[in-house]
Amino acid sequence: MRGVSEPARVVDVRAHVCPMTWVRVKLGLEAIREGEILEVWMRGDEPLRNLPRSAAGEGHEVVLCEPSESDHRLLIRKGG
Amino acid sequence: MLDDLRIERYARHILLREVGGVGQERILSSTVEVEGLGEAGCWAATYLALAGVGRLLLVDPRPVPAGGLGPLLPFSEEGRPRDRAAAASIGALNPDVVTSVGAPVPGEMREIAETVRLGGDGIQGVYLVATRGERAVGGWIDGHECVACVEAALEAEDASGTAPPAAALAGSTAASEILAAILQQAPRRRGLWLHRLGEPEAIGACPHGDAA
Repeated sequence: MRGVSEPARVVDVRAHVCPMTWVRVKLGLEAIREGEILEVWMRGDEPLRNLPRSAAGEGHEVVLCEPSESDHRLLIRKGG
Repeated sequence: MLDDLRIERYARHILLREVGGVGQERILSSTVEVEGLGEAGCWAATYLALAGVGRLLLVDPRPVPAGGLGPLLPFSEEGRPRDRAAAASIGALNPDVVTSVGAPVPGEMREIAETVRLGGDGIQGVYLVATRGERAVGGWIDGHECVACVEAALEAEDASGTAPPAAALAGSTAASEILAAILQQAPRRRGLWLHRLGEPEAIGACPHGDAA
């Protein structure tokens, strides 16, 4: 059984730009069940600004947003 | 079904809450019949093809008129059956769409020159729209298709001119309603409406059948 923040799926959008970053994340969220965690790896300022906002805007919970100098990590819990 | 190429192709649809990846896959696996390839029918088929409807059954053996017609029937296809010419154009619009050409269904619908009837697998009811000049009459009709009603509404208006905007709007509206049905959303315009190049005006339910 997975831990509370253990991802059910990982999506890497580091090679993508808007809007494909959110498209890929959205497809990742569709592929998991409500309450499960999606782990997202992203790069650059744009996804760091937009992906947490888009996820929250569609009713999901941003569990963790971990910026770094290069690649950022985001954990999203799928909402209902 | 949604490989990288299709994710790129349908990205703007996937972004929509009403569609998403699941909805796009549903559209890709759907079949829609478009009977009547006048101006409105050509626009409806165009939007359905661009949306990614997996299989389009086209029905209209009338010849392409001189000068072509709408977005699917170029003047170079003059004289060719409309359904065959439209199938060729759709293949160039979206390679995901498989087209086939069907035999016309005998019935009263053929009495009105510019009529399009849309329906398909898993779609309850049909969308029927008729245009004349700058007017269009259409609606989502459950269980039956009442050509008498749409024709009566058109006849009640003074038909003049051949401007296509009403046909383009009617065709895109019809395509939108069929896509909503594929996505299992309720039709937004149940019953009949009349369009005069403005907001569609509801003209009530068909008195000849059971349209809500």
